Amino acid sequence: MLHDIALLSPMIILLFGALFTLVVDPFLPTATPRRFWGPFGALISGAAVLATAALWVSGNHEMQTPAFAAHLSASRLSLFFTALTAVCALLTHLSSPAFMDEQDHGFGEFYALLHFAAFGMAVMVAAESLITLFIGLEIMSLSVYVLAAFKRTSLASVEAGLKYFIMGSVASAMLLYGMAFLYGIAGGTTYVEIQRALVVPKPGLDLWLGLAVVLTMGAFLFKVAAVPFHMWAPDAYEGAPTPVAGFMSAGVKAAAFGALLKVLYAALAGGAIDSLHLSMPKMLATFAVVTMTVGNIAALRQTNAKRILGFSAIAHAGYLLLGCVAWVPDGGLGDHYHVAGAAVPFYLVGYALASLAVFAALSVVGKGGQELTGQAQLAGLGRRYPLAGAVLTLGLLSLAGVPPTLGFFGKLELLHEVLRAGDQYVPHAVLLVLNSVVAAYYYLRITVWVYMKPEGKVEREYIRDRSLTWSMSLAALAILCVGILPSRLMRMAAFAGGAVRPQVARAHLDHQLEVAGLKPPVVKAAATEAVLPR
Amino acid sequence: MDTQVSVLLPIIVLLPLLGGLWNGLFGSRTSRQTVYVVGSLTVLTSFVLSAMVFWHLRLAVNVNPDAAFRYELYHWIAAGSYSFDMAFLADPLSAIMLLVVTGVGFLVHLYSTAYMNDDPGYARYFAYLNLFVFSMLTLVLGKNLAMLFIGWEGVGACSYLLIGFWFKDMDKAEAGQKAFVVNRIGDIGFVVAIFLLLAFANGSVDYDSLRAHFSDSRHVLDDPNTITAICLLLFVGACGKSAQIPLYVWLPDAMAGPTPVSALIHAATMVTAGVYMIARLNFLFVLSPHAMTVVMIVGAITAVMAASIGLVQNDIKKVLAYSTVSQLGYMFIAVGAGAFAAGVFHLFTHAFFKACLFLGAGAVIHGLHHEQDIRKMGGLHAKMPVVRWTFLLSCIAIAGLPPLAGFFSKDAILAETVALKPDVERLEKYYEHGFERRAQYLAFAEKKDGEAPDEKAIAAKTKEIKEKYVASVEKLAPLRKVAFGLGLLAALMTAFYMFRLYFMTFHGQYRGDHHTWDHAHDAPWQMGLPLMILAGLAVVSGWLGMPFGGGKFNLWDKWLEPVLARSHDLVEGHLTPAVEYGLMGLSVLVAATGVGLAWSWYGKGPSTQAAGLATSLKPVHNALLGKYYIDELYDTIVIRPLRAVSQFLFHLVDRALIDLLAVRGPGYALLGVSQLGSLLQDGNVQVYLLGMVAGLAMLAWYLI
Repeated sequence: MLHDIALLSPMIILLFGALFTLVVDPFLPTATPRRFWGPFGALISGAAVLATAALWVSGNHEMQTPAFAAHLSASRLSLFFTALTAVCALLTHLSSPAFMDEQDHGFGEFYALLHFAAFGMAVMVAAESLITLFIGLEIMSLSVYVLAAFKRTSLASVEAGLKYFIMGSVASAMLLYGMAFLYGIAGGTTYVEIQRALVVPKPGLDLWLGLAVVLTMGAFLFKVAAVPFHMWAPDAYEGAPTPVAGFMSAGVKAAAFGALLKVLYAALAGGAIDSLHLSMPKMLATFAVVTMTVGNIAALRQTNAKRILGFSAIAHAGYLLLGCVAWVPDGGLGDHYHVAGAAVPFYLVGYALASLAVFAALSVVGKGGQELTGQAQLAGLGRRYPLAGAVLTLGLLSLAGVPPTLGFFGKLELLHEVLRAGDQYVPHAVLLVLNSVVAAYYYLRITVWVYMKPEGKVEREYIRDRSLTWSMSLAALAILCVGILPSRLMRMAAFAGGAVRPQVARAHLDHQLEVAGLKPPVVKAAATEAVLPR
Repeated sequence: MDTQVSVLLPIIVLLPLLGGLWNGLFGSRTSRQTVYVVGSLTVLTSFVLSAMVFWHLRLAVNVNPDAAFRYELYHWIAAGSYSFDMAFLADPLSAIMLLVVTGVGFLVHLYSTAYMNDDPGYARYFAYLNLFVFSMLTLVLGKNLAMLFIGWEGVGACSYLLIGFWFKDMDKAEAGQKAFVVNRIGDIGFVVAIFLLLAFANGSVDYDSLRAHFSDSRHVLDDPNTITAICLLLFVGACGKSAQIPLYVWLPDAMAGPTPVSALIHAATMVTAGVYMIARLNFLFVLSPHAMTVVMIVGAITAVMAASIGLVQNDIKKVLAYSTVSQLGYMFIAVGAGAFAAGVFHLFTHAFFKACLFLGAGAVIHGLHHEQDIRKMGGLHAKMPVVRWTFLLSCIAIAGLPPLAGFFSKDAILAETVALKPDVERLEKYYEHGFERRAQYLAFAEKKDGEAPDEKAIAAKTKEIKEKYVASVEKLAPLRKVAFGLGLLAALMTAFYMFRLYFMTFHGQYRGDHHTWDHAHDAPWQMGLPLMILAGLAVVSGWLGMPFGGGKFNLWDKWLEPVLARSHDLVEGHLTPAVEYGLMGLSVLVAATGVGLAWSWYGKGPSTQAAGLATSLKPVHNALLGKYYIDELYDTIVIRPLRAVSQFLFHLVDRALIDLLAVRGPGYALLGVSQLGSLLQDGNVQVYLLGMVAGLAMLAWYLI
């Protein structure tokens, strides 16, 4: 039990932050400014990152280290994504206070909700069963709905939150429905049990399995904002307070993809899945290219930076989705199982950092309760506030995938992995590259607004705040430094991707032993190094 | 011990980078003092550390002649079988360069603190200068050609920035551009050579592995022609950077930059990079006597041509610029003749006296309120004693009068040019496999019906190829005498124009206006001290390479022996003492003649004799004044046609085809589609949910 708790320490730290904020805040005098919760939250999130790092270093690399009766785990995949989401929370905590104060909504609850959301994300990516996953997802989603609508005097913000909430509830319902079917088929809710049940085709249950997959995947596609489940995203990003929009595009996406990776590779794999009418990877790959194309093309005409980034988030969901499904059959386990590579975790780090940098830099225009992220309103930002302009540009370049930023290596690795998955993905890869070209247009367009458009006569005021500066600088530095020396992060991402395999191997072996009527021996899991890129 | 010393190497390189970054980023906000201190101190620290490295290397070499310090910073690129490391190497050759770069670099920094004091761009200036030192150190300390190339490009960029330092003056900005473009032409050759080396030599351009590769005749490329091609391409790169014919035209124009920059970059360090590169790759160049001869002859012609232009120039910096081109030609004569040690020796001594001359010229210009025309100078010895004496010492040194530095290095070059010759037997042996393979290939090609040629035919063919090769190498021998003659002629001219410059500037009557004369002043200490140190070095540095006593006192050659061992295998020959002393006497005589002529014509200001000579030889004089009209020639045969072609391509291909059809067309199409797409996104939640249901239906249709 104690061991289990130690494994959950990152989540516990995040939860502590949330509860502490919630309990202490009401006792503070109303007049006290609440902005100190931001740095405090950053400290808490930083502690969570450190705890994750400690677990990463001390953990057994090959095993899943399940906790709480295999409903949660501290595998390297979980740890990688826990750390990533905690970093997202950290940077958001730093960039929020000044902005929220300017908007007159700098309440303590805001920070508590950020903690809750981060906690939900951590639970989501550590989940090893559908129930835990759902709990994590709901904790995260509900917090984020409220965060999106947090500026309750603004119609746009409330509309964003409400739309997000309504559509999110439909998605939750779908997920729950799909889970119910899965439970019915597998007789259990943990990924291992589901996996075991799907090792061989289930002739009579095809329809139900299909339904389960459709509903589950639908919910995930909603969470990552894939077409046609994407329509909430531009409205929500545009309406939500800017730092929250950054958190949504970075943290929520990271958590959703972390959970999706696990479900795809560790639960919904095996002979039963492959015997479905049409192969699931092919279907998802189709969704992926449609998503990236629609996202990019729709972004071209927009004139509001936040809305553009909303569409850009959709496009990136497409790239990532392709990375998730372009998989390589696992030589050791047979054709029904796949190797997860480093690309998706690695890409997500670059994407999350760039998003946070961009949104943090955009939040400087939120002076005096406004959010002036329109084309004309951004003009002159580069000259009047060079740091914000530079960070914004760097973040946009990283999103566009220009070297030497992290985004470039992310895209490179993603493409590499897609091409390695087989010839059938060559058209997808070509579309990915073409999409990147299209995307460069609207990213650079924002840069043009910021640097090259006539400034007009209005002397604009910007939010200049120390913790916001920290947030921008940290994100920008990380993009650059890791972009120049990416190999360490790449190794870690490969560890994370490889962490799925031992679990699959165990389920597979258990099944075979069961069939043969033998008692399961101690599993000697394969070394993760086998899947590392050289 | 060794590893501890090795750690210093990256520090030496990175300190100036830090200084440059600091001054570049914050220099405009800090005080002048901070900028000066940061700029100079980083380089001074690098110099002290370099001296430590040098000292330890000396100790290490005493124990093991092949000792060198190596430090790998990190593994940079590995692609397939190619790999590059960010690694540093301090062997005797790079240790010398290290001292020159950081030592002269620091003196120039110190000098600049006074020279640039009134300039508003001083922070930018010091940032560039530090970045230059960083790039130059990367160039000389790099452990492979890739690092050398990074430094090579880095110094090129810094040179461009500093030539065009006063970029508001269009001429100066254009001079920077010219330097950059001409250097690019050379770089193409260099890059292609690096690629060829990568392709032929195991995918590594590390010096150690290249040397091992080219010492082993089993690895030999198909025939000597390939190696000659590689060497010639490398030499094209060297021509660009080190201002040799036909790419020398940028260096005289580069004098548009601040004078300390001319001293550091365009005299002492950067322009010698080509010589350094060839000396560094001596093991490769000695394999190709043909390429070496090309290097030698191009160097000799450049030496004479530039010296002859220098005879009549009236801009104090232009004279020095042509003198630099000419002296660089000297260095190329040396490395082309196989006298790598002598070439690097001349590089070393030249760095001191030429830097001193430039800095002295800078002091004169500074003292005379930016007057550069020597016709408006004269008699300055009274006003500027420090500058005058240091200038005089350097003039004696460059003219090649004993016992100053230039005499020893120049004499070593001339003596070895006639003494050395390639060891044909060893070369023949080295290429044995190559010849045989070529013979086999030719024999196969001759037999049309596909049957294997017999061994006898191959042997005969091999012999034939071998003999042809030997004959062609032996045919090169007389060219050494030509190079020697040209070198002697250049020495005569050098002595003449340097002393013409000296007499015109410091002796006779002052010929400018009186206001300037009244305000003329000697150099302040920040400028005087570097001058004195450099002049001192111009006196003594030659003593390292004493030619007497059969090389017993020649510390220089002994020091470089480990680096050049391979070249000594393949190039041989020495002179009898009698001939050697005879040659020495000859070069002293030549130098003295030049000085004497200069004294008789310009000793008391320009004389009527000189003017008379100029009128009687009007066409020659005009050609020299017009620099042989090379710039005009290039303008007509290269630049204008190129411009015309680019105009055509711009209008037809770029504007019409690429812009309109390929870029804008699809762009507009996508924008149109985007417009359509945004109709769907109308903000209505019902529509959004409908979309989701449609998506689910699609999923289901796919899967079930």
